Amino acid sequence: MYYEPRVHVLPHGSSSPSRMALVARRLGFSGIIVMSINGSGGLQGLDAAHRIGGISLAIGVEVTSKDPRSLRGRISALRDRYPFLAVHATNESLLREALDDPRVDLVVNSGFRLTVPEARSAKRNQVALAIDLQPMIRLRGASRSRWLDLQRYNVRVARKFGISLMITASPRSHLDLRAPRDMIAMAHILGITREEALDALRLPGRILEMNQRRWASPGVEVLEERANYLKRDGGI
Amino acid sequence: MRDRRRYMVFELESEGHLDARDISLEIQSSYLSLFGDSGGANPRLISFDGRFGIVRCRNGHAEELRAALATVHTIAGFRAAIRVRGVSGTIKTATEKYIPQSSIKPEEHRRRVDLKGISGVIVSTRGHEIDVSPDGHIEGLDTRYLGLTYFDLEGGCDYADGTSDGV
Repeated sequence: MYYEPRVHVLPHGSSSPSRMALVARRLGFSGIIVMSINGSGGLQGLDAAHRIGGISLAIGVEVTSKDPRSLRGRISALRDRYPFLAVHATNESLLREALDDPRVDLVVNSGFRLTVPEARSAKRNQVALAIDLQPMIRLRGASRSRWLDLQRYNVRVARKFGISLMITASPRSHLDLRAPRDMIAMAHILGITREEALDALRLPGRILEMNQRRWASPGVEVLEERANYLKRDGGI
Repeated sequence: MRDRRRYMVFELESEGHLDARDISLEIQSSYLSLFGDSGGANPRLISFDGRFGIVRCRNGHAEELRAALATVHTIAGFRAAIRVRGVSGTIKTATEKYIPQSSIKPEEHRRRVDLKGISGVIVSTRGHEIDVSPDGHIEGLDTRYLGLTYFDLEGGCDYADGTSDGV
């Protein structure tokens, strides 16, 4: 039911996919989406992650670029290869471009105020907005205050225009994962209601389901294991 | 009078050994930073055994405290994470419900690991989870250790006990 949608594993992070899966399962997630950066491959340990029962692991692609045109090109090249596509928007023109592309499942906004045209665009193209909780965890003091104001503003805009949200802790280590209940408590500080937070945690799973039905294609790895390995007392 | 206190049980994951004082300072600091002097939880660390701990807070402020604990990422210089296991009205029920009475202790090792692209020394294991100190410095990562599992090691790991992680 609940997914952590933006997990970075070795070599981009410091934990293996199986460690992320094991800890995520222990924290109460039903699934995680492990990100391939721009489709570059090199993710190690996916086979090991296969052997963990009771948690789904999907491979998504996180696309980033210097400018909108090359972003569009990358999305075209990568969309059909993955059941989940996120854009990491590192400047405003990328943000605008990503929100305007119906092929994008999720936009991770690096800290810009959502404008009204952008909000309308996101709604029209059914692009979800990520609320990245990593700054709430890493920052302190004035920089966190500023970040909180910005997120609260974006949450209000998203609500007003009916934009879907996802919540992520953007983990690069298993120590960065946060349990669903803890994410809901943090999201509450941003003005996200419990219901909205639950919807946000469920959205990645729903999108994966939809995309898999439409875009089943070779090279896509979706690992889902029935909990056959679970022993009576819950071992593994 | 009815209970006006809630007891929140947590489990600590960290890359170093931490004592109750370290945890207590960090909890205070984290809560204060997020909610300020006027925050109503008044958190107090009641106990900590090196892995599990109990924080007391005022009724009605448990979710605030949960959020504050979730924002902890480093304690006394070590990367850490605080996992809330549950909240209860008394220390007794909190302990009985949320702290496993017999838990597998993490084990220390010095076994070497050499995988494709990853080489280092196992520093500790807990259940199937294995922390490895890498041989070389790895760019751009803020943890001391790599997080692996028994399943990442070729041929499995003799030391990983076959049970779940102590719960």
